Amino acid sequence: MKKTWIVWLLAALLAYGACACAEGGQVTLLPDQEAAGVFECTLGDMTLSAERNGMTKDQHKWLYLDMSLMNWTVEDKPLAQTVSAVLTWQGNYKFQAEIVCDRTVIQPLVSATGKLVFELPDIVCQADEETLTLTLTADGQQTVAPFRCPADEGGQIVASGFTYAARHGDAGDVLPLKAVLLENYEGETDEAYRWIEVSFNVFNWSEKAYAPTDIKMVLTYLNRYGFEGTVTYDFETLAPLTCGSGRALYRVPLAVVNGQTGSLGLKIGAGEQTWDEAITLTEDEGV
Amino acid sequence: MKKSRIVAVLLCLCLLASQALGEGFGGLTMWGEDVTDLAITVTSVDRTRSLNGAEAPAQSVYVIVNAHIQNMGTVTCQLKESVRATLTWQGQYVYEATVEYRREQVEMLVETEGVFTFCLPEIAAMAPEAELALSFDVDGTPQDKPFTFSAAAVPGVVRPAFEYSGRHTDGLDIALDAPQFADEYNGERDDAYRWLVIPVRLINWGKAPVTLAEEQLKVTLTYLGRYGIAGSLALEAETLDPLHTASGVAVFKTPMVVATAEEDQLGMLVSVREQQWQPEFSLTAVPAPVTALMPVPDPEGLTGVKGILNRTGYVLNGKTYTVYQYTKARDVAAFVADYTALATANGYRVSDVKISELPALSLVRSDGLTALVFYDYSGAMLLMVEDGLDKAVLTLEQKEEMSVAADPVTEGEALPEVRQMLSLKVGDIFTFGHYEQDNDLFQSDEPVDWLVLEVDEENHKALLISRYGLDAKLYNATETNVTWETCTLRSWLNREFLNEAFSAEEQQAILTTAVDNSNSQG
Repeated sequence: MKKTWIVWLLAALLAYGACACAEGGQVTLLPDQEAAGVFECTLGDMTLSAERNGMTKDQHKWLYLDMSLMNWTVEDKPLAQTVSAVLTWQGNYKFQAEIVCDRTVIQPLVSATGKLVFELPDIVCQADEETLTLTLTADGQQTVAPFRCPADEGGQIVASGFTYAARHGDAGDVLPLKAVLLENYEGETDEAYRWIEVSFNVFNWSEKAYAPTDIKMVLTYLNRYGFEGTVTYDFETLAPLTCGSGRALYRVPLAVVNGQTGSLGLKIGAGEQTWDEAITLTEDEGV
Repeated sequence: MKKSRIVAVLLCLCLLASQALGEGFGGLTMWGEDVTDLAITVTSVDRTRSLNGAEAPAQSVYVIVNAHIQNMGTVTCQLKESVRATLTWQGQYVYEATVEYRREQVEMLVETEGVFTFCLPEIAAMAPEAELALSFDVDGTPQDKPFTFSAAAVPGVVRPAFEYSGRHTDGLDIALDAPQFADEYNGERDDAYRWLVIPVRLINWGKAPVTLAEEQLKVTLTYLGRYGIAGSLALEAETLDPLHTASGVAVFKTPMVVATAEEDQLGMLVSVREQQWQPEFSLTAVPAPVTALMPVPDPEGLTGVKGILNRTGYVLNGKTYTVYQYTKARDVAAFVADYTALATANGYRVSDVKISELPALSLVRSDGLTALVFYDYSGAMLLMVEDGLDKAVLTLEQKEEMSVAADPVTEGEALPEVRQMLSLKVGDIFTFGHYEQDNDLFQSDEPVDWLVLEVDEENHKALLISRYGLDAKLYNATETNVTWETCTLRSWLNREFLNEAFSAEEQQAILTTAVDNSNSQG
């Protein structure tokens, strides 16, 4: 049986050779023409979505940009090497688009449609044109333009309160939220002491995942005394430009909590950066 | 040559003198210098696909020239050594004959017959006669004037649709037929493309065979005058002999932007070796003429007698026919003329042929399908319709209506035939009507010649008198006192003669005239 198939294959090849005189389909520039057109990439509508293919990702959205392609050149254009798009936020953070298209190669005179897909942190989705630019490269031709994401289509963007301009360092950043005075802590009472629980947010300004092992938070009194606390986080690592939360628990003498308003503060250290934050105690409202 | 003719005349005089002297022909001699002079007269030319049972080579036709040869010279002539016959097409393509003579040599004043057989490619063999020249040379001396001839069409042979005058190269040439778009080709499908499929025909105008792969034949679809899309050519042949044709297909994988382009944005570019040209190209197939694919006229439309199915699947010259049998027409010549007109109007190329010594009409439609009408087949008539063709009853009147509709004539205006008549001048001879004149009652009536005596252009009238006496009748059948009004001659003219000599259409062209029937007129 195998031999039979081989013979048939040879016969088919011979038959083709007998009648085919020229290879076809190739697009060329006519002899009297000096230059072909260019590869065109045109962007259309865009949408922002909290999910992609049914999946969601915390503090991220997906930006979809419709894209039309037309290859007026006379060469095949592999899409991956021909089209690229980058969103740049604050001049530092770059987000490369994934290109979604039915064709991996755009042949001469062929048009195609597809999408540019960006996975963006919420903080970037909220950015304005002054801080966000889109760089589109099509067959070597680069276009840079200010950019703003459209309104969110479902999914709530977390308002973390961090701003790039007021950041503390280029890695972990801390923003105290509330300091609560507790009479006891987990059943422990001492009439000479009180407990202060400080809740805070952590933000990762770096471009890689961040584990907040270098964050130090010291409760200060009269800017003279300092108290080490127990710090816990509700996350293990933070993705770039995303926000997490934590709590710091301080056991402080009664005199500290009875002190004058403004006598309490936090000295925060993250990496090589150190700064002070004022706190105001609030009474425990109970559960 | 002049000298030869003079000698020939002298020879005749000599011959007469010799006969007068009672000398035998065997001793016929001529004095003076030796002169070679063969008088060659073509008696008939035939074209055929098969010769002595053997088919002609592919795409070739035999042209058979029968000639009468008489030795008018003074020396015995060895025909095979002396005579060379050539058939030339377009003054370019020269074909030598193979020859058979009844006598190998001809002595002084002896005559014989020769059969010159040429094997020509179809395009040359079936060319209009004006493009062909037959010439003879005798001992290297060409005859004065090339002989042009006419010959019957060969049933089943359709001349390749190439014109020598319109060729693009002197070698390989290509013609494009109606293009068509396809969404899929050879199982390949791509939403970004459509396939433009164009049937192509090739011809080798050269005088030597060509290998297609070496001809660098390229077809390119052009877009916006800027881009070229190379076509893929699939051809049925690898080599092409001189004036032979091949067909195939050119396939263009066209991006959608091209497939949906305006027609004026597209063009075609063909190149063969160094030569390049832009053939006419249209995505809109040229609609075939209305009459191009009409059915074969059914003889019933002319004879009024239905045919019966004789047989099916009858094979002749490689074609399969359905055969219908009819009663033979009473007036065969009239039938042939009318039927030829009908078939021609239906888009058929009609020619007289002889098949197995039987006269017939050959009808070839533009798509190559054929029909044959044996109008005198042992007292009957046969219509052979090639499979794929239909036949339909269409009368001559319907044909006339069609032609009138195609060329409308306003009311009051003379019909075309009449206009032609009125263009005549006094003294012209005009043929109009048919009447028996040669006493051969077994043949059809002869056309009547009329001498134009007077033309009244203003009133569109002409006064005619028959060129020859047509018949002889008594002024009146009985010897009585009678005038023109009631004489039998007038009655005969207005009835028998009118109906016999003129068709209904012709009778309409004859004007009614007021006649003075008074006694003074006789």
